[in-house]
Amino acid sequence: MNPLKLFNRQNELRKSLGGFRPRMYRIAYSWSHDPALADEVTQEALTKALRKLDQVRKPEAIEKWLFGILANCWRDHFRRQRPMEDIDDWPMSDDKTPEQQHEQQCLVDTIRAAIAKLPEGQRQTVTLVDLEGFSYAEVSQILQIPIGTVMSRLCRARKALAGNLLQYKSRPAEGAGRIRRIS
Amino acid sequence: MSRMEDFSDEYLNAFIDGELDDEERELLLDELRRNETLNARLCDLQKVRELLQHAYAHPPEPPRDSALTPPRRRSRLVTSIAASIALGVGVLLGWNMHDIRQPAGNLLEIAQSLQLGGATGAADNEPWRVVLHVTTADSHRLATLLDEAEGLLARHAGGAARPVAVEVLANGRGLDLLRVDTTPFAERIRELQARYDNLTFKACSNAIKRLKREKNIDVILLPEAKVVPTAIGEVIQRQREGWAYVQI
Repeated sequence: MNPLKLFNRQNELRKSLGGFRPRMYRIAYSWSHDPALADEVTQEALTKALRKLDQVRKPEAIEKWLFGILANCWRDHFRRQRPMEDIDDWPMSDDKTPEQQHEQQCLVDTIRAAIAKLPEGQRQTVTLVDLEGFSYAEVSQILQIPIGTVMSRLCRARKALAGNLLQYKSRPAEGAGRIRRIS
Repeated sequence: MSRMEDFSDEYLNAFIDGELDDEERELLLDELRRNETLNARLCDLQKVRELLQHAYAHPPEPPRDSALTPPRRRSRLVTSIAASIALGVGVLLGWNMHDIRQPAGNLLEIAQSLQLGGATGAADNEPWRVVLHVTTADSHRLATLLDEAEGLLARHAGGAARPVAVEVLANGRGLDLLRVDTTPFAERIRELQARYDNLTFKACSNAIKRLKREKNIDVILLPEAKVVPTAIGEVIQRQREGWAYVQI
């Protein structure tokens, strides 16, 4: 490739990186539910991306590449914190029960709490598919897992969320039924 | 494949994620026409996806200080980028920034002494232009702001005097000045605006969106207020154009 063209392309890619920041932050937030940590991991990923920009062969594949770096940064972060645990088996801890969440918080918080309770790998998979619209093949490359694992994680994640969240919506109706019987 | 039990959850997920080929999709669509239970299963999965998207439509903003004061683990590159931004914004804003809470003369004096054009010896007929950036809801300070602005405009209302332009820019708590339901000065702003066409009131769109997102407040602005995309962008633009800047 013409060196000038290559330089221009690199320049354009560099400029476009900042535009991905809100999306990367959103995904990092959906993994961590901690704005400061999400911001830090996003920042780290963008810094790494800037340094490795010459690795990008196809500009159209930059999204997948960036989210792959983000997933690596996220994994590294937890390796530093919990070196002996497999993050796929590690559910986020949460002191509140679903009932407390239901009573105390609004719908958005309840959904986020249900997602926070998913095992790490399931949470990453379902958010990449549902928030970013990545295909199974892309998620497989971003998280470096087989495509079959993407499908099974997604399936388990959605099943668990349906169990928690759709039940949440039907409870008021049951309560109303009981009151009618008493009167 | 024709019976519903043959459609696994993986299959239904692949359908809603657009991962099936035409033939597979047709099989499922055909079964969906007559199978209510299958419809309900699919509907649940779609609802889950909607709920998830809803939950992260507006994630909380990153901590405000993180952009300018990088945490310990940030690399030197990021530190230097953040420092450059801080320096750039500092030079741009801080150069002429003034706070009327400090002992100072009236706005006219401030505008005269701070304006870039004046400092570089611009021509006498060059207008004095000042952005008054309002970030407080303190009614005493807001009243002072309007008094000063009015004084400045009144003194230069005649044709012979040097022209002036005053822009009141509200964001953060300062947005209260321009909100119908919170401003104590709706009538005064209406009168001022009717009297002076070289006075403008502007509200930051980001601040309006933030109120909606964080407090579910639908902001209704006074009819005199215009909306700008971001307060900081407006300030930078005005500074480039040589306006003085005073933060209230």
